[in-house]
Amino acid sequence: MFNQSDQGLVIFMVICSVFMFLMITFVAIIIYRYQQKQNAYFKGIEEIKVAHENNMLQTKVEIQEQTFQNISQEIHDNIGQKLTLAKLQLNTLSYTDLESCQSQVAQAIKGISESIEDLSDLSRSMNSEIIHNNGFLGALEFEVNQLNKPGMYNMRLRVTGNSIYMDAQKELMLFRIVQESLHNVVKHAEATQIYIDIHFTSTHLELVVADNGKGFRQGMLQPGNGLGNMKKRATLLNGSFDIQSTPGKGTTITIQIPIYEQYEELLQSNIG
Amino acid sequence: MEDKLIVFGLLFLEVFIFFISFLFSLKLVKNKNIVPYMKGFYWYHFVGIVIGVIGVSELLWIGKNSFFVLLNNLSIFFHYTFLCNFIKKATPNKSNPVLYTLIGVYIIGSVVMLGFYLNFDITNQANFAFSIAHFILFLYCVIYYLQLLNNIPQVILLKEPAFWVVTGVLFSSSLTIPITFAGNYFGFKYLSNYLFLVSLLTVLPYIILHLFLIKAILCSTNPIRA
Repeated sequence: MFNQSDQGLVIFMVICSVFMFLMITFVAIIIYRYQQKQNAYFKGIEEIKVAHENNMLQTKVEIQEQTFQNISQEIHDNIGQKLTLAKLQLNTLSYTDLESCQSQVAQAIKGISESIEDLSDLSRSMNSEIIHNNGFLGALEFEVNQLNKPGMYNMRLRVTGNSIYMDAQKELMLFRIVQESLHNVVKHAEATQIYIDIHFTSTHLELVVADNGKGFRQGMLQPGNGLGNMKKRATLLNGSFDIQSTPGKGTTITIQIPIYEQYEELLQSNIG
Repeated sequence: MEDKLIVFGLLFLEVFIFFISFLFSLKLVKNKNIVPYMKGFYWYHFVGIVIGVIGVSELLWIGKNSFFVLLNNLSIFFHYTFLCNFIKKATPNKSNPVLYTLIGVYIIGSVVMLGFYLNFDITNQANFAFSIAHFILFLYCVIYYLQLLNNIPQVILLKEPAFWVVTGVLFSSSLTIPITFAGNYFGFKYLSNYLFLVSLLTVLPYIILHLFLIKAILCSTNPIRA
């Protein structure tokens, strides 16, 4: 006979089964929702990656274009002018006045020599072999020595911390940043002292280029001074770029580049 | 007689599954290539084996006495504490409110269980303590799932050991709570008329839990992170 307790037991079994079914459904829903969320997350990451790569490619092209423009300007404004002047002097030689003729020829020779030197400097600055052969610090020392030679500047290069491995491309980009900043100092700052401080930590490289030149009012810079290029290069290196300047008190450029990921890559490649 | 054979068969199956789970847990011993929260998980099986051996020996040679009941209560408390701690370790990206909730719920559960141990008669202690322990574990499982959905989905869920452990605990707790409730409601003398059903219902959560633990151990030695 089916008594009340049996009925209770059956109801209980039904409740247990329903409860179990609900739990299974609950877990299935969790798995489904999680998978949906994960797919959306990975899709988002892919999109960010693609956007970032496109951005980086665009930045590289912009840097390249800017560099070509700078070279073109340098050739036109500096070398071109000197050669034009030399040509003018040679065209207007006075064959009757020997002294004047000698002076003009001497000036033309001086102009052509300076042009050859400028072309040589330009070629050397574009050549990346010095980085490949000497590394970032070696190339920087060479650059500092070159600037110290004329005796116009008191340059100091200071390196602190334990220098760490960086791949050739990153070293080159970092070197170009320093080169650009030194170029700006020489061209615009009218400085007598230039300090380059490089500090290595376990995760970052901090690069500071400071001068005691005339400085400038921030926000009132003329275009084409290469600061944009420096900033883009720092961005390509996942770093930060900061410039501080006050009229009459010089300029300080600070760049921070993470280097931990490069160290990790090296460790992984060694383990592999 | 037939019922007793079936019950014996179910018990044998339970012990067999537990033994297989124990053998799999040996893969976790001194294994450095496993996810951090699975390190030390083998202790769950080791302590289970020790308590099981002592308990069965006690029951066979001496019979059910207060030491057996104490051992039973301790094993429930160990099961509860160990799994709560595991779920807390494995819960992803615990913010302070979540962590405090987990710890608070555990403390409240422990206090209530202690209250049952001290105030209820010896035959009912285990049932109430079981219900409280599994209810708290059920809450922990829900919190784990909520945290999974509320955080960045970085792991491949079906290859994540913690997911399998928590799911096993969820299913076994879901069955255990109503079963122990039924035991208190219907009375165990009445339920002894349905020996097969009762044996199946008491053994099933345990088997489910250990099957999921085996899956978790298999995943832990080869986790794939997204």
